[in-house]
Amino acid sequence: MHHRRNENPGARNPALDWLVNSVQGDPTDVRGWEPKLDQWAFGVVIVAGTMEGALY
Amino acid sequence: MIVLELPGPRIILFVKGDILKEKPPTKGTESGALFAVVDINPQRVLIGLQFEYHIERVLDIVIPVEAGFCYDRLDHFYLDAGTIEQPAIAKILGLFDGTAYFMIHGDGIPAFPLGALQGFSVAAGFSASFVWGNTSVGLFLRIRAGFDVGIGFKPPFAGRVLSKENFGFSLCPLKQGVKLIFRSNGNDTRIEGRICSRVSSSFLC
Repeated sequence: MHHRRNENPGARNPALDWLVNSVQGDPTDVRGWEPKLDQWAFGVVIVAGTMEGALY
Repeated sequence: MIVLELPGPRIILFVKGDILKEKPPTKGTESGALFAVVDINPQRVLIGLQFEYHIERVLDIVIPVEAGFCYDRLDHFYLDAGTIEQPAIAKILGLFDGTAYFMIHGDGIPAFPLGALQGFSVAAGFSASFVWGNTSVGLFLRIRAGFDVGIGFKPPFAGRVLSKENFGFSLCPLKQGVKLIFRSNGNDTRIEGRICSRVSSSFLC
């Protein structure tokens, strides 16, 4: 609440630029967010994956 | 992660996927990732995807794919697999470099190397180079080749082809280029061509 993503509006695809260069694939990284009054964001995360072979 | 941002509203889907691969060595530096975004707001839809794969000193691949659509102007869309400014890149062993792009735009490609393409336009380009030697002291062998092809449909049909070759030692480089431009309005067709070759030398040759 009262935060927004600090994306670069000059980028061709600002959201992709933000995901790759600002937070390295982690949208929950606080470094990618900045305070902004009356800006709200709601997010839901799903983590899925497969694993095989020995653990190490 | 799916995010709803207000006010807007703006709905964004963020995806990060690690690529299926063999188990790397304990201290390995291999990494691969897939980033994807779907960004929807009341004015437009943007879709972006970036594939990256790195093996330190061995392989470096970056492939960006982007698409965009506007609701108010249906001809203002694009679909790019690499772009002229930011092509897909592959580097192998630090010796071979390759870049490529493929672009489809509904309202022209102004950055095309041989002049702006207008209207519905398609452009593609490829470049590959091999460098052997020490570039820092200026003694090396470089072989480079590439081409750019573009077609625009406004005026009715206009196409451009640019081919570039570059070969030689740092002290005696040889450059060759082929440029071909063709235009047609349905009745008349005009073709322009140019071939050039250049050798420059510091003190040898």
